Amino acid sequence: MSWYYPKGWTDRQDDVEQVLIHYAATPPGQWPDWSWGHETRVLQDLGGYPRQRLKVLRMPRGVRDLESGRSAPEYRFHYYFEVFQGGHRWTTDLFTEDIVYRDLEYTDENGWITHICIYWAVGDWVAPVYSPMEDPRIPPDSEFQAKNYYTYQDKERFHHEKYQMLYGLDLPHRFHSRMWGPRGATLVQQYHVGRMFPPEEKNETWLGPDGTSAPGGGNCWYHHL
Amino acid sequence: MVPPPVSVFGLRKTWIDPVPGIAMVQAHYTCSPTGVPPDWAGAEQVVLSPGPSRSAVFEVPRTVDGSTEFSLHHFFFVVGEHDRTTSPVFTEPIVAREVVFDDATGAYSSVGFIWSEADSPVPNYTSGVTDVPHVFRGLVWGVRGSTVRYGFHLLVGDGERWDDNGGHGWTITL
Repeated sequence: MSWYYPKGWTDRQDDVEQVLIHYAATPPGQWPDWSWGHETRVLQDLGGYPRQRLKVLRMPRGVRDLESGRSAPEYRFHYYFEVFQGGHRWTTDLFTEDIVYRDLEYTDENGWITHICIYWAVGDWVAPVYSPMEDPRIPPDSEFQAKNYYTYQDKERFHHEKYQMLYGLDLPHRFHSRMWGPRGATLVQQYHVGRMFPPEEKNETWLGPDGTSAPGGGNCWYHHL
Repeated sequence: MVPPPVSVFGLRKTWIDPVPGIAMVQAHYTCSPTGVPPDWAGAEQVVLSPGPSRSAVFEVPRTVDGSTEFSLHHFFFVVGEHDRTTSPVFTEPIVAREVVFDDATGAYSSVGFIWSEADSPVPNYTSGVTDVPHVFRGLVWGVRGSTVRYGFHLLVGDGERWDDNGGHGWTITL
């Protein structure tokens, strides 16, 4: 599973032909070896004047540190643009950002919720991410972990079993999930909460600080990383 | 300088809301060798852009188990006004085809290929390789039967130019 980070470019002259972004992730405090390998994407030409270009990058939820053998959930993101313009190419400076995470906890005092996700994005709603939340008392190897919901064939069974598992836990239920972004950026965030069992009580909604909401838009929490 | 090899290609998938009131559509996708069922444990997930015509770009590996031909599996998770549904799983054969630039005059030192599915542009790049003088070859990928539009990135010395056939590109059916 990944999260998504939009990177844009605005043409400063009319003769820009293509713009590529070169990028790599390293553990904290390290620099990439560009000769060893990195990722490259072509930005999509969105048109307009001045011409806008965009690529939504698929970002990892951690970077493995080859020295320690462990995965670091916070890491450095290095990138530069390669610009093909007027028959020649040039590159921008190298930019480095610290990718950090923010853990969220949603407290369900009365046990109404059986399913909950966070709906969040870096900066604005260009590239939202939908991340399931889970009460850490649900065993990690349970087939009824929230992350298994989407591919679970018998959804009604999942609804029933998950309801029973949560019902057996003391209140309040505390659901957890994680968001990422570059340090200094702002994340926008809402909750999608649902009660999927019993069938006659099925209900779900999107929540922002002002109450129920459509997904996206201004009724959201802002997190400054 | 030709960009380095890329491990994935972008493939846009589109969803049309069949009814009003759909709040969100999320796609789940994974790849497997041809004939092998999907392993959803490592699947990617992406939220489609807001509707009623929604889309997202899948990042599809260029090879699976060393092969350029494999299966792409995906389904949609749809949150409606009062319910949630999951689409059937769609399995599509991914194939690669070779495109060629014949540099008859020997004018270029390197050639790249810029390409995209014709109906739903997402730019991808392949660096050309040459096994005989002045003939540059590269691979383009997509769903079998689809059409890919491509152009050339022509490099010589410090100069370069992009040839997209006057905006029309060239096409190949996979």
